[in-house]
Amino acid sequence: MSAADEDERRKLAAAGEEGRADVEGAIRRIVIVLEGEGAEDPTLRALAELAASLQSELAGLFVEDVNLLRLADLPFARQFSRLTSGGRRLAPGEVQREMKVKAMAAQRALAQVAERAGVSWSFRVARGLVAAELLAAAMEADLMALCARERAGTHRHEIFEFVARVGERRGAVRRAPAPPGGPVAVTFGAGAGAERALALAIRLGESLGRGLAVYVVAVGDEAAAKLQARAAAALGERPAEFRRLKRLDLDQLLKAVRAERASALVLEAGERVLEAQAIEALHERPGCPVLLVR
Amino acid sequence: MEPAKPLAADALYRRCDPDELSFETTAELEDLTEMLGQDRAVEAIRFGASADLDGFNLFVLGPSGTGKHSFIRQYLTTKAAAEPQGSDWCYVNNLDQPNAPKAIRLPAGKGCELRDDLARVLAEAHAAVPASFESEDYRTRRQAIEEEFREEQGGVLERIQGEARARGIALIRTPAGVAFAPVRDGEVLGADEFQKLPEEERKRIQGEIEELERRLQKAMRAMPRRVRRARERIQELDREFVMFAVGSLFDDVLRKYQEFSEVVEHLKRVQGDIIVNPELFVGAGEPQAQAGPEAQLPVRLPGETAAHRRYGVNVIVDNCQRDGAPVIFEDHPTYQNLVGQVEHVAHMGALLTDFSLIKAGALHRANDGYLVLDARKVLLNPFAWEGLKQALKSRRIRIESLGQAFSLVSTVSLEPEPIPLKVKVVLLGDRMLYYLLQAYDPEFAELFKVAADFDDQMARNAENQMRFAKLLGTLARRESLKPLDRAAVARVIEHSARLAGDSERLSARVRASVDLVREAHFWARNGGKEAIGAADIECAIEAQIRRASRVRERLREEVLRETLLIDTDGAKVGQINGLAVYQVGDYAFGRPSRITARLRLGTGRVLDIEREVELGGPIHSKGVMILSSFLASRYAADKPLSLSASLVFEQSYSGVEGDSASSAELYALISALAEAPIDQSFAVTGSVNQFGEVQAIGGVNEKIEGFFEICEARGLTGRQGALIPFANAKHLMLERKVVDAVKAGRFRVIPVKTIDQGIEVLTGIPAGERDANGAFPPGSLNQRVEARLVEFAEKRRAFGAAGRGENRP
Repeated sequence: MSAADEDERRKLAAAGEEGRADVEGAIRRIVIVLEGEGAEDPTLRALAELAASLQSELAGLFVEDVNLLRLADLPFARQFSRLTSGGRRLAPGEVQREMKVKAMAAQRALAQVAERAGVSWSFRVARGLVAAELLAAAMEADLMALCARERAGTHRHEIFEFVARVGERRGAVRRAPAPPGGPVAVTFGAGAGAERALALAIRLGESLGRGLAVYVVAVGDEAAAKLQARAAAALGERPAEFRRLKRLDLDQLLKAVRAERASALVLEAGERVLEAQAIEALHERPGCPVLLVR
Repeated sequence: MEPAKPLAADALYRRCDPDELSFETTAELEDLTEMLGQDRAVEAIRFGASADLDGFNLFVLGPSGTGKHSFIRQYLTTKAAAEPQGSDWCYVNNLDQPNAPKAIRLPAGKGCELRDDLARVLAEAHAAVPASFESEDYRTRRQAIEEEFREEQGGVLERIQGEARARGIALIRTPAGVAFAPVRDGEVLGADEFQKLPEEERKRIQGEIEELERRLQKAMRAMPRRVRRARERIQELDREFVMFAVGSLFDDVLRKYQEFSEVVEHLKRVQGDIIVNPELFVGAGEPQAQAGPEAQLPVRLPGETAAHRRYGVNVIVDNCQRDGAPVIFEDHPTYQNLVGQVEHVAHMGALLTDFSLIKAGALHRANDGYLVLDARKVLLNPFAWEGLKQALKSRRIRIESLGQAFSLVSTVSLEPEPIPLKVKVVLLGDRMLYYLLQAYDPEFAELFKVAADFDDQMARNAENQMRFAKLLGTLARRESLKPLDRAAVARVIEHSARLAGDSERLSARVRASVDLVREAHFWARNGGKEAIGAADIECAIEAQIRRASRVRERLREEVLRETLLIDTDGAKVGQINGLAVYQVGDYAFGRPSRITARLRLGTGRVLDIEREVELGGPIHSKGVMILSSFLASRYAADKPLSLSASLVFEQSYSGVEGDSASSAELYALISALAEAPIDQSFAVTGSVNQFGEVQAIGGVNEKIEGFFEICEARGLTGRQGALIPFANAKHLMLERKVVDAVKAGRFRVIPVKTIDQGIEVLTGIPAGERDANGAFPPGSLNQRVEARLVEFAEKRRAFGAAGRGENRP
């Protein structure tokens, strides 16, 4: 190794250290978007541990979707059970009551995990369009976690898992050995917050007991190599698998993340992400919790 | 009639001459390998143990201390060592019917081998199965199936969602399901906005939503079927990979056990079960992940996996360490300890069990060999006797709880496959138990056809004395005691004869002699001797007697203090010293009792006061009736016996049993009738028959010694002595001090054959025999008795006539 290389390596290592220190100092508040998870939800617990290690506060957010409220008022609105596929008329006020129940469950779960981890917490309910509310929250948060487990009813993978679980419970389908949990995926681009996102992914991976999959976002090969070297320096001795994205295409990213059954996705909340459509996609599609780091 | 003569001193004790023993100490003697003096019993045991016939089990009966147990142990152990080893027995999970575990028989040592081999296979499967699931090949194929499903399922849903979007309708997730709603700019139309739409538009939207809903419902209803199909394909994939992972593991084991069809069948069944239950091998060590198929015991031992719980081998009988056939001594023969049991573990307030908790009983362990049991313990333990008989009758060991066996509980439990039983059972017990079982249990005779009856005694001859010496030498060596010199052996032999109560026999209760030698060893060691001598034996005997003599001493003292009235000199009419034996634990001693007889006019009844107050036993009463008969037939054959006599054991406050005092009672009556005083220097024992013959009794030595020690304490006069039945002379093994007193002419032991002989000694008056005319000589004792009875008869007749008024003027 030449002197220049050694110098470069030292610089990169210093940048990695800086990223880690940056995470510890900068993330004072973690916003968690909740949808009625239980206190035993592993992601929720991992986030509470993360908050404890960063000495951050947990801020729960539950969004009452105005679209649902409007839907309930429509004279022909019918709801179909995802389990039985049976349809029935939505009664006035029913959706609102159900959302209230979910919000209360989410608050209880947050309180339990936060108190167990010894971190301070808060909880609020916002009413509006989901994407708009999430975007607003993301703009204000140092770190925002979209930890919903069950996405839209049309989500293919979720439905598959859901029906399979029901089958197991009924004894109709035997439980087959599931493949081990996938890695924590993290994007690593040229942005200033890349090291911070990586440092967070490392912590999360350690907390969940998973490996890391680093998605290096760079157009050219040379730039990609440099970024990978930066990421490797930040990783130190920790093992990680590197992937390559030419640009931060959310469709492409989410497809890749789903393919490797990632345990979580950590993203730097840059310009491409802080858009209503992107936030909505991240909320609905990945099949794993998403952490947006500013 | 010959007058009775006192016995010479040397007739009172048969010595064992040490010079007849051809050794200096027992150290020179070889071990005694056979049973001493029990030839009949040994022969029966040899036959019973070898007879391979149905029901030819053994009951070894006899008194305790005869060496039954030791002999059986030694004999069976030696015999079994030359016989084939017993089989190993295992229980395995019956995968088709988990509540009926299967029994597998294997040659000795193979049971544990099978268990270890299968454990090894399972351990390897724990590595191989997850590895196959984590392989790139598996993951790729599984993901391909899942992706195909997703595409198939998602394609339908996405088409519906796309068509909806094209029509300005969105599929929305509600808290409890999904719903369609018209949207504009990404927002659902409110009810007011919808109402503002032209009616035609509203109808179009409603119609389209209804159509979309129908299609959605149809697609959702097809989902389970698609999922099931996908699952089946994944299961097929799993099976293929598990088969690949475990197939080769089983090949070697199957080859190794190919000659054991039951094992092969079970291994194949296990292999098939693993293929359909691969989850048992994934996530080892995580109990949650191991919740396996039904009938799986949720509680496991540390380090035990769910797979081991399901597929392990429970070796209940392992004979690998045993040479020859098993010989099992079950000291605690409870029902469960005999037939085995199914244990349970408590889990969440319930009791659970499976095949691995089956425990063998003594019958299992003794299968193909011998089982030795104490009959009394078997009978005392509830249901053990019934359980043993059931197993022997059916020749199968069926493990079931008492609740199941007697239909007391109806809960579902294990029903292990019964195991064929081939065992020789040896019961050890006393004679009473044997005869009771013979009398009251009809199945007993069918199941225990061979009785080995251990004797109490053996002949005292030179051969047996030598064998006895060898036995003492063997025991001394085995128990690291000092050897006995020949004088000591001779003294032990003499003591054994005394224990047998017969100078011509030896006691077969060798335990007493062994205990004596142990105690003598203590004295010899304290005296710093190389070998146990006669003095040490004597010391031990005296110490044993002294320890047991509290009651005897107390009674003796009370006689000497004249609290208990016993005369040892002078003469009295109708009063005699009888002799009784008291048994206190193992120790017996004799003491004199005063017996008195009183007469009056009466109807010929001899009143036994002991019987009247229910202190006399039936044999005693029989003795009194016999003497009554003797009196009537000898003296009043042709006239009514017109007396009323009463007989009593003075100062007797507990029961009197036995007929050994009947001669004394008769002497007292004759004395009273003849008004001839009886010399109180004598004590008398012996039973009498209707012809006036004196018959043998038991405990003659103790009785004589009991009277002797009173006389000795008061001072021996030379007139004192004991009258014993002639037949008991051979039983005499009296204490040295009695023999010495007789030798010095200060005490007498006089054997008598008839009452006439005895009464002459006691009264000093000739008894007299009938002459040709049938009359007794004038002045003879018998003549005086007869005259007195005639007098009674006359008086009675006169009294009767007066009562009827015949003599009235």
